[in-house]
Amino acid sequence: MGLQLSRKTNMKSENKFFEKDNYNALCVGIGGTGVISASIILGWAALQEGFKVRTAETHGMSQRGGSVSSYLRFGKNLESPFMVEGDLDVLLAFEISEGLRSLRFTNKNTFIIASKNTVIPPSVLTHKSLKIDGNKCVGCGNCVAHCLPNQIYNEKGEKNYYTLMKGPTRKVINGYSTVLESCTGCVQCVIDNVCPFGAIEAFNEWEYPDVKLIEEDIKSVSNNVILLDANSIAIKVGNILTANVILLGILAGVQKIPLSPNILRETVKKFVPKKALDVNVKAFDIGFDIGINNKK
Amino acid sequence: MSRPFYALDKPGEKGVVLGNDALARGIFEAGVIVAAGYPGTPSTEIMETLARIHKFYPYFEIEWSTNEAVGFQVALGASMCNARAFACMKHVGLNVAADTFMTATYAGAHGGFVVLSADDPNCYSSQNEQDNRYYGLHALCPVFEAINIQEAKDVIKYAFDFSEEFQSLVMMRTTTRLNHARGDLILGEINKIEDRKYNFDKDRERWTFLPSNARVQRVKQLERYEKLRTFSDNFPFTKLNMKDGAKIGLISSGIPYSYANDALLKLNLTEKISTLKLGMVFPQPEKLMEKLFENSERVVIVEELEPFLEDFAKKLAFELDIKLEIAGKKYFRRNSELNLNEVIKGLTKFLNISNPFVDLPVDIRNLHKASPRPPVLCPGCSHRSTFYALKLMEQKLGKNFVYSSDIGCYTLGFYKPIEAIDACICMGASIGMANGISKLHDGPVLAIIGDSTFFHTGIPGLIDAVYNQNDVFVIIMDNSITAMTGFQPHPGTGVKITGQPGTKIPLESIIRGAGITEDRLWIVDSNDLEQTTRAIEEAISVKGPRVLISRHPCVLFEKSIYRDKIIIPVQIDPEKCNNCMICIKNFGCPALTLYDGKVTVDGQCTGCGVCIKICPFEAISLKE
Repeated sequence: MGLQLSRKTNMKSENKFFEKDNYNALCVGIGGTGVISASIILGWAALQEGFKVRTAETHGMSQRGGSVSSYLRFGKNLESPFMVEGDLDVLLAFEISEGLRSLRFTNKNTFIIASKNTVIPPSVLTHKSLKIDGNKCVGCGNCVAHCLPNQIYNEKGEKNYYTLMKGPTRKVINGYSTVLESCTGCVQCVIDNVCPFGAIEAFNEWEYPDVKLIEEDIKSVSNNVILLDANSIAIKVGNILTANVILLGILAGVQKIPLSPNILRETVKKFVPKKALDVNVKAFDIGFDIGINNKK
Repeated sequence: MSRPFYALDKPGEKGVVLGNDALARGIFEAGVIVAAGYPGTPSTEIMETLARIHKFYPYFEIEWSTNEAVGFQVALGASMCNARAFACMKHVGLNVAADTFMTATYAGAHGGFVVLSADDPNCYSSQNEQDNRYYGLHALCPVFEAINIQEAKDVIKYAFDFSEEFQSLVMMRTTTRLNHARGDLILGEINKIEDRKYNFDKDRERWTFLPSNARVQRVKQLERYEKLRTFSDNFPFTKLNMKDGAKIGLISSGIPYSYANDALLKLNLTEKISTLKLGMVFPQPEKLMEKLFENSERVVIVEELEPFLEDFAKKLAFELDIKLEIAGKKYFRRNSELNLNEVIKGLTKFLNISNPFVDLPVDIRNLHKASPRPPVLCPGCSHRSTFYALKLMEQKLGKNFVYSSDIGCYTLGFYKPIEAIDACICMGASIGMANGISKLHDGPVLAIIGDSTFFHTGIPGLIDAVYNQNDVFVIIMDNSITAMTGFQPHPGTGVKITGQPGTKIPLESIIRGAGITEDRLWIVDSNDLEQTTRAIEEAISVKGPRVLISRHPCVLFEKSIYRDKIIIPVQIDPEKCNNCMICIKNFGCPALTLYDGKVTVDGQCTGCGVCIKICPFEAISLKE
C-alpha cells in the first residue's frame, strides 16, 4: 500500500487546486493522546510545502485528562496564531465531546474528522444529585433510612476508620426530606424506587451528552464530516496511541488542504517513536484508505 | 543521541519550533556563558531546551537556581565578569527578583545581560496577569518584544549585543501566546566569543550600592536612559509602515501585533492604515510616533493588558502639541488576552464599520454543551492521599483546619471533592500567612507547601514561625520534584538541570536547622493512610511550630522514569461493592469511574492502593 501511495502522489501537493492564501486547522482532544503531536506533524509538513506556519495551544492546568486544543495556521500571508471563529478548514477531534466544544470555529465547508470515543470527565460523576418534589414528599423518612452513605455517616467510622463521610446525606427537615451537600449522588434511592410517592428525581448538574446526539450536532454544522471510532481501529492496528495518526492518514486521503500525502507520511515517520514506527505507518495507511474512500 | 533541530550548527536550516525553543536557540546563538532561572509556566522550556543544547555545547554554564532572585543574582554576577548572562523567569518571578533588579539597572550590564519575563495574560497558569512592561518603566530598563517565533530568536540574540553596547540590562518580555506557540524558524550563526577574559570587573564604586555610590550610579542610569530613548527610533525590530494618504494609524507590538496584522488583512485595510510595530516597547520611539501622529487624524493602540503604550502615546502627543485622537483600551479589553476575533471586534468599532465576523457561519446556539473538564489531581497522586487524611482527621477530631496554601499541584486541592485550600497568594506565602492567621484564629492553622516551593521562599516563613513561636502546623507535600511545571529537579533531589549529580539537601536537615526539634517533626509516606492520619492527629494535639513531611514521589514523574515498571491496578469485587459512590465522591481519584452504572477501575489506575483502605465494604483490593 505504501508503494501505491507514493506512485499516486510522489511530489508536492497539487497546489493549483488550493487557491486560498491561508489554511486553518484545529486539533482537539484530551491531554496525553497526541493532540499536540498531530499538530506538530501538520506544521512540519506545511513547512516543507513552503508555507509559513503558526500554531497556538490552549490547555488546562492538569497534566492529563484536560481539554487540549492546538490551533494550526499555514499559508503565504499570515502572522496570527489564532484564526477567526468560523474560518476553519479542518477540524480533527480525537475525542468527540471536544469536537462538539470546538464547533464555533467551523463553517458548513469545514472538513471534520472526529473520533467517536468518549472520555467522561470525573466532574460529571461527582456532579450528580437529587431533586425532591416538595409537593409529593410527605417526610416519611423512608429515603433517609434507606440511604447507604447516610448509614455509613451515622456509624462514624465504626465499619471502617478510613471511610470519609463529611456529613449526613439527607434529613427530614420541617416535614420534608432534604438532600444535603454530602449526598454522594449514587442515586440508589431512585434506582431502588424507595420513595412511595415518587418524589425523588436524579439529575446531572453537568452532563456529558449522549454520543448519538453529539454526532448529530457535528453533522448539523458541516457537510463534510467523517465520524469513526479511531481508538478501536488503533487498538486493532496494535497501539491505541496511533489513533491520532489514523486521523492524519484520513486527512491525507481526503486531500482537503494542500499538504501532500507523501510529505505527511514522511513527517509522521520522522516524529513517532522509533519503536512504534511500523505500527504508526500502518495506522497512517489505514487512515489514508478511509480518506480516499470518503473523498468527495 | 540524535541532535534536536534547535541544537544544529546549520545556519539557514528551517524548522517548526516552540517559541521557548526559539528563545533558547537565540540565547545560545548569542553566545550565552551563564544561564540561570527558576521553573515557571510559561517560561520553563527555555531553560530545559538550553540544557539540551548544553549537552552538545557544554562550554556554557546553566543552573536551576533556588528561586528567581538567586537566578537573577547568578546572572548578574556573571555579567560582572564580562560574560553574556541570561536570567529566566515567569512574570511573577520578577517580583521575587525585583529587589536586585531595581538596583542592578543603576549599575547596568558589563557582559550582555538579558532577563526574560514570561507574562501570562488570562492567568492560564498563574495567580495574576501583571503587565511587566511597567518594570521597564519602573527601573528604566529597556523592554523588547517579538511578534513571532523567528523574531523571538532574532530579538533575544540581538538583545545581548545591545546590552553590551549600551551597558544596560535588557528585559525580554514574552507572553504565553509566544512562549507556547509554534512557528517556522530559520537557524542563525552560532556566535563565537573566544578571546574574552571572564574575570570579575573590579569597578567597586559601580557594584557597591552604598548611598554615596548609589547617587552617582543613579545619574549614570539617567544618562543611559537618554541614550536608549534616542536609539529607540532606530531599533532594528521597530518598523513604521506609512501608507499613502492614510489618516489612521495603528501602534502595536508582540503577539497583539500579529492579530492586528491579520485583522487588517481580513478587513482589507492594509493599504488604508499606517502601522507602527514596536520591537522595543520601552523606551518608546518618539520620532517615529511623532511622524505617525503628524500624518494621522486618529491612532489606535492594540495592546494586551494595561494601557502601557497608550498612556505614553497620549503623553507624547500632549507634549508635542499634536491634536489627534488616540484610543486603545476604549476598544480593547484590559483583562485576559486578545485574539484575532477580539482585535477585529475592537478595530471595527474604532473605525465605526460593521464587523463581518460578528455572526458565526454556523448556528451553534441549539447544540448540546460539552461538559467542562476542570483540573483535577492526577490518578494516583500522593497529594490526594495527604488531603484525604487531613479531611478525615478534621472529622475525627471535630475540628476545622485553616489551610493556608502555596503554589504547586496541591493548590488543586481547592476543587471538589477535596475543597481544602483556603488561601493561596504566591510562592512561599503559605507559612508567612499562616503565621499571621495563627495569631488571631482559634483552631488549627495549617500551611501547605510543596518541596520545591519550600526551597524557593518557604524557609524564611518557617524560621519566623520557630523564632516567634507561632502556633503553625506546616505540611510539606513532598513529591520530590517540581511537578506542576513538568518535573524540574531542585536542591532536594540532588540532580542538576544538566542531569549531572549535584549535592542533595534533605528537607529535614533544613527543617531541623531552622529550629524544629525531633518531637515537632513527623515524616510519613503520604500513601500510608494509617501513618499519615496518626501523624496528623499527634501534630494537631500539640502547640507551637511543627512540621509534617508527607512524602511520596510524583506518580507521573515516577512513571516517566520507570517506563517498564509493571503496574498492578486495584480491582473492585462486584459482590462487595454497593455502588455507594463514597470512593468517587469523597476520594475522587479519576481512575475510579462509573461504567454501566457500576463503580469501575479504569486504565489510569497506578496501583497506589490508597483507595483500598477507604471503602467501607472492603470491595477494593489489589489484583493478584
